Amino acid sequence: EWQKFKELRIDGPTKLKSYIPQLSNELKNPDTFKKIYQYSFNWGKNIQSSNKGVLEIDTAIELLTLILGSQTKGYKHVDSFCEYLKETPTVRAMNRDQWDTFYTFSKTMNDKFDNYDEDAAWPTLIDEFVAWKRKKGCSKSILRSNY
Amino acid sequence: MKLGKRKAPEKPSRESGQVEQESKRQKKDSQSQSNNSNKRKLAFEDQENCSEPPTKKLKPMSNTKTNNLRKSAPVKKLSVRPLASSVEKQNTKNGTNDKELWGKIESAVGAILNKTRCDIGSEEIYKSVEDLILLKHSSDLYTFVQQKLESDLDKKQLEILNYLQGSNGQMQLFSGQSDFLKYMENSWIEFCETLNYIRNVFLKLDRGWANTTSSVRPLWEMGTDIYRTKIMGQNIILQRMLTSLNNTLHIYREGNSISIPLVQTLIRSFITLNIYEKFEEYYLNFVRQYRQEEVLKRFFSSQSTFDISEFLAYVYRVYQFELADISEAVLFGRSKKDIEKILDTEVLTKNYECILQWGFLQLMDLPAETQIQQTRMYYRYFKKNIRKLDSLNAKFGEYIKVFGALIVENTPENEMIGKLIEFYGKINNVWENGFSKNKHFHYQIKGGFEHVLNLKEIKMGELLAKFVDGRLRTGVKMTAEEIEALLDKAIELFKYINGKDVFEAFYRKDLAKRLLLNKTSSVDLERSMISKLKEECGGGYTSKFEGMFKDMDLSRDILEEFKTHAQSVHKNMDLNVSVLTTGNWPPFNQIELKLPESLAEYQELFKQWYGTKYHGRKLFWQNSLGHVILRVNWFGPGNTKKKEFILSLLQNSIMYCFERTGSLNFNEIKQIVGTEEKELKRGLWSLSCGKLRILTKEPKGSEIGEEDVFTWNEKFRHKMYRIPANAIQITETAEENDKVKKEIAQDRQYQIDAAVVRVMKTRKQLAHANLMSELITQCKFPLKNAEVKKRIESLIDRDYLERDKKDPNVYIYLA
Repeated sequence: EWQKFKELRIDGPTKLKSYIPQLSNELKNPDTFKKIYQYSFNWGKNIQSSNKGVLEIDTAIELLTLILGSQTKGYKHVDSFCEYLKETPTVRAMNRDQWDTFYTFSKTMNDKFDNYDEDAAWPTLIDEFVAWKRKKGCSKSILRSNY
Repeated sequence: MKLGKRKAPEKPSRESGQVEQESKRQKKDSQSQSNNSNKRKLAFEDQENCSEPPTKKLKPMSNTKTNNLRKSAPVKKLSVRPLASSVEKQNTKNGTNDKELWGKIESAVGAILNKTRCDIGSEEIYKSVEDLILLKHSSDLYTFVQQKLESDLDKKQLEILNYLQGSNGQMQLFSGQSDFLKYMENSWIEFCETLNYIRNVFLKLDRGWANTTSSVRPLWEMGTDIYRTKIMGQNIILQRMLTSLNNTLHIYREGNSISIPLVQTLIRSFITLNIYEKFEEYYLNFVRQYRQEEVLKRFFSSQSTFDISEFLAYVYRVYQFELADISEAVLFGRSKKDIEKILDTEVLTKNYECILQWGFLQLMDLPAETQIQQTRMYYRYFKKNIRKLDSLNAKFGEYIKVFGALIVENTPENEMIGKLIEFYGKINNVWENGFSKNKHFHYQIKGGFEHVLNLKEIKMGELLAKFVDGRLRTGVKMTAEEIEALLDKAIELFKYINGKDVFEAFYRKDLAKRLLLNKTSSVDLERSMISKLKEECGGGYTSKFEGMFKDMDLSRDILEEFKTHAQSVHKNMDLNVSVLTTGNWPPFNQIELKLPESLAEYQELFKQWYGTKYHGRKLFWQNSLGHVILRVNWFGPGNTKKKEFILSLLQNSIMYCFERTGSLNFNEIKQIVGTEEKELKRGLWSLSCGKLRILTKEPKGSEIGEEDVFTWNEKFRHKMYRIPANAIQITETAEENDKVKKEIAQDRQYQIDAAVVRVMKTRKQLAHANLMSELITQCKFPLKNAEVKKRIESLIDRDYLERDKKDPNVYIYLA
């Protein structure tokens, strides 16, 4: 199915947006969706101006919002992750491993990262994201308590 | 039949009459025993043949018997009277005979009890006793004695009560307990004497009828029993005795003297009377109470200050006193165990937490002379008396960690290792001599120092390397043995450091400088240090260092050859070259530098010659480490002097600028010397702003600016002829330091990568957690989770590994 992208010559986020509803049925199949997600990394790489083996942050953010954000059910942390990527200047790109893992992360992780294990095999990018989010959460609650 | 043995005693001085001495009594016993046996025989025979006078039978026996017993006494005429007949005769006069006998007994006993002289001779009394026994009045006799004793002691009791209460029945306070005790002692001694006499008199009864009749006790026991009931049974008397005895002992406890024999006698009397437990109970309670209060008041109350030396001395005194001085000496050791238990509980165990919390720290702060001895005592008390040695052990461990951490936090860097070495020595001393090398305590030392020395992981390895470097350099004012000892101590600390690769990197850098700048004080010490490291970490660890030494040795040989070759070309070439194998030596600062002609020429010459000798090798000159000795001659009005300067190549090039020119600005110098700005600034600073002002700088100030102008200092003065000016070469800059750290970090990354690949190649597939644990065993430095993850990600990126599609926690090796 994902080869259709190539066929249809979708070469911009806008076109993809319009195409998504058509594929919505197919997208409901989780395996298919996962493959689409993973493929989108390659696709994103190709449409980038630079020719690197990684996905630049801006592209990554757009793609994530597009693909994962579009599913109404079950993909958490997409927005906050994108926020993290925007706010952290040291992160300039995502590699394939990080891209793929984020999918699993988004699907399986609780709102409050209760089931997150830093000592497991999550890429450091995600470790740092969790730490960042937790810190933010902390300061928010402190603010709240002052009032 | 009465045998006249008694008339022929074996004593040298004959005493007829009263029985007095115990020894005689014993002799009498032996005699009387044989008497008894004879008598029994006689009695038996009598019963059988009453009619026949057994005289005939007796005579020979008695004679022999008498002969046996009477060894040295003069022969006496024996009158042997047939017993049976006399008894039979007297049977008729039963009543009167009895009365006579009883009368004698009564008066005898009365005399004994009243301590008056008895008119009746002792033999007569004994005979009377015997007769009465034969007349089957044993039981009556016994009862008689008993009653007599009872009435006597009744009297005594009243006397004592009177003594205590006075005539008006009120309790009187008399002057001093000792009076009362003496009174009681007297009473007891008298009683014993009396009972003794009575017993001797009634010996036959005691050993005969009383012995065989089970319902009846021996006289001695009977008598003491009566004493116990009548005298000590009186509660007033008993209580008075207990308090007086106890108070007397307490007077002794407070340091005053008492009459020990007095107390001993009375205690002995208690033992004899079987009432020692009463005293013991009273006394132990008192001791418990007293010591409990005392120790609390003196050491553990809110007003008291706790001082460990004072406390230990106190404990020692108390134990010494209670156990040795009183218990062993006065109480005959009977209550020793119980007292010890009381002391253990009241003085030590109940307060052990305070002793531990306050005392331990004080103990550690004591000066060396007293510390060991007191630690030994402290240890012994915890081990033997309190029996909480593991609490002490834990405290020891805690102390090491806390105090060690304080040292690490608060000491300035240049003193830290020294202080840690000192601390380590002190702890070991305490362990060896104070804690008797207890194995469990040694675990605490290990754990404690491992914790302390890894608080600042990278820093510690660096500081230790610096410390050793400082001791191996020239200019250290210590003997070789002292330095050697210090190196040993440094190795002790080295063992605990987890990141040994840090030490290696810094040590290598410092060793390189020492070797190349001729700053090693002793090659033996250097080699000794390396062998110590080798022993600890194995040959792989020290291989580079050894390589460095080899290079230096080889260089000497090469230089010899070169010089012989070069003599033909250049005379008076004073050149020294060290050829270094790149792998062994640390990376050096690469600087651009234009050398003066002559030096450049030398370098070329050597390079060419070396090329002919060793094909296929490339030489790179490390100009940052080269140094020269420059001879400067001053010429000028009134100003001819010569000096030699030891300079780095950079400094040398700078100096050369001023050979013909007096003054130059920064950029001009830069042009000539051809080195980068930062290095040039350093060099210029060392020549113009430090201790040696070979050049003067305008404007003044310690910053080198690009507009500055430098002038040769005509007024330069120095007391030495050959002046070392290249200190900058050996001092470590911040950049150098950072470089080494980067080197270490880089090296660790490579090691992790290599380890991961190695493990994954073998296992093919491994979960993240398992991979981590494998790495921890493989890598010799501490690992951080995040660090390892980054390397794994990098390896995934480079397609060495991939994640398992089904379980992202598992990695798969990609061949």
